[in-house]
Amino acid sequence: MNRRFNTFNLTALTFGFGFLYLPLLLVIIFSFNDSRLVTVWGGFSTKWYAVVLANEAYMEAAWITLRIAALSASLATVLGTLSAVVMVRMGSFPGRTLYSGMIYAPLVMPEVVTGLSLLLLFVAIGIDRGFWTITIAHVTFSMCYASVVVTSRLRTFDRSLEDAARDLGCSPFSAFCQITLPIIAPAVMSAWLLSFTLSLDDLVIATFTSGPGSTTLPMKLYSSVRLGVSPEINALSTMLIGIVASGVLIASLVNRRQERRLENETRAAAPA
Amino acid sequence: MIRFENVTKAYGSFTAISDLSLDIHQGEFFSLLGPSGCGKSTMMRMLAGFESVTSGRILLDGVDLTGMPPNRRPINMMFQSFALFPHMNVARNIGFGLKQARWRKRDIADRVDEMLALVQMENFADRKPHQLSGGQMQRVALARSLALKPKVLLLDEPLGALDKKLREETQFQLMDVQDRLGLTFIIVTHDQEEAMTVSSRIAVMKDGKLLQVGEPSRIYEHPANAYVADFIGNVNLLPVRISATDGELIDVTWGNGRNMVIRPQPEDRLSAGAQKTLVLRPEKIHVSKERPEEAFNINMVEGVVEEISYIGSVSTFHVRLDDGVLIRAQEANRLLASRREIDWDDRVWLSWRAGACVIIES
Repeated sequence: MNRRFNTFNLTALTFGFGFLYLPLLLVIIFSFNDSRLVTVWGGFSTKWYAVVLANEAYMEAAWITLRIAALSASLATVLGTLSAVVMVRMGSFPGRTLYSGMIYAPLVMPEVVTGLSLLLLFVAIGIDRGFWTITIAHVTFSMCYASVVVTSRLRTFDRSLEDAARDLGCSPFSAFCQITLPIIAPAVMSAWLLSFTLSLDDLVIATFTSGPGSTTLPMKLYSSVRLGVSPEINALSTMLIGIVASGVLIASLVNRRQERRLENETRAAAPA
Repeated sequence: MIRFENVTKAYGSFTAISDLSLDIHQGEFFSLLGPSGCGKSTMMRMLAGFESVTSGRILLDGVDLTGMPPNRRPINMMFQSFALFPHMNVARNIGFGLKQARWRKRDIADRVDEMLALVQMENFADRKPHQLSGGQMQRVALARSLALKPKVLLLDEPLGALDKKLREETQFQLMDVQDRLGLTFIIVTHDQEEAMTVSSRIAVMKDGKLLQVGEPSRIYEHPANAYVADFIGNVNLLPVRISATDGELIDVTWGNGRNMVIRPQPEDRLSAGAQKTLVLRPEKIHVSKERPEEAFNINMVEGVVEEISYIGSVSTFHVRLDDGVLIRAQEANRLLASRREIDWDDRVWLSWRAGACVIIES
């Protein structure tokens, strides 16, 4: 026992937790603060939540954000899955390296660069910036994450299952829909949740690509903070933390359940 | 029924199958046998439609299959990994092909029941594949691939994932099913014993070419060349020179001028002085401590036991002759191993009949 819980390990753990969660914890605690002053505790209260929920500007921003997140996550998942299929199934084709490079590029590209380049594109083709441009911008970067998640699942997928379906009368498309998709569904699901939370979080790219009347919640939050931190912002942030955390949690739970099932199946499929 | 006509399959510069022609008849249990990488799986995948043919063509009942996708061919395949759909239960797995063919629900249910009965899995219809044992999965896979009443069933290493005991049982079950349905079965395997047990004819392949096609006994007893002889079972391959060619029995010399009488096959065209290879299977050689009785049609040599490998039913003796030639001989273990009369370093006599060996080209 001592080897696990010695002073060094405990100190390391405390620092780790401290750096990761202390700021978040403060926000959450002070969101239940009764006092008007942000950093002085004045007793427990949920009144700031009521204030936030009654604030139409916040609510409208939240509604836009959720719509963008859901729509961009859906599009990103479809595109990400398709690109994963291409990467895993097509073997080598001319331009494959470029293609895989382009898929992974947005993962490491500074958001400012992505945002700026999208802005230039939208200006160049003359689209009015707003709801749709933010959605498209979110699709471009979250489809990369979706693709990475689905690719890793597809790599371990037994090709002969699809061959068997084709042998029994399916076209390639129908084999994909009836056999492959249901089996990789948990990975697709977690790709969607990941894309959803990514879109929910985003401030930088949304700032570049938004237009009048399409302020997302992170943007709203940021602009309010510049006018001074108010307790209702704590409440709003806590709600955001809640949504994002549950999204990530569900995604990882889905993934873990799938892995465990996969493990059981492979164990059962490999007779001694 | 199935005809491969000058079929070639190339992957870039690598030729997997080169100019291969083969006929497989209705109702046969046909084996494609060879080491891994010999092209046997490629043959099967071309027949199923998963691989295209580079040149030549494949005919089924006179119809050219070239360009026909797998879902349109009246051929079904049982996969090595069984490839059962993990998200469907046994009944839905078996009915999958019927559903694709838009059978009516009632008809699908009837056919699924029929197939479950065929493989004796009636009580497992609602199980998911991961709740089945290896042998049960194999039977479901068989039922699924037979549900569509294909003209030909392809089996890719069907028993590779099963343990030895189960494999033997399953072999007989496969033969029984094939016999009852009268279908053409084509099996791909690298296991020569399996091929010998189940098939009516075997094609031995190497490097994308057919070395020999024939009945199991023909391939075992009269191999076309040294590779086939060596691939199928244990064998002594002895270089010999024909010394006399007249009469029913002929003389050959081998080793250090040793003489041997053999009974040639009618189709052997032998001329005196020709260098050939003699195929002598270990189980055809008798091992004894006493010198066997002389007879005009019996060959005998003396040597020292160098090695004995005991595998239960039989023992293989490695006997070094006085001139250095090593001969492997096999004896059934009629006595308990502890009572065995022959031991390491014993001097023994090996004897075999003139009709026990065959001559092949060197």
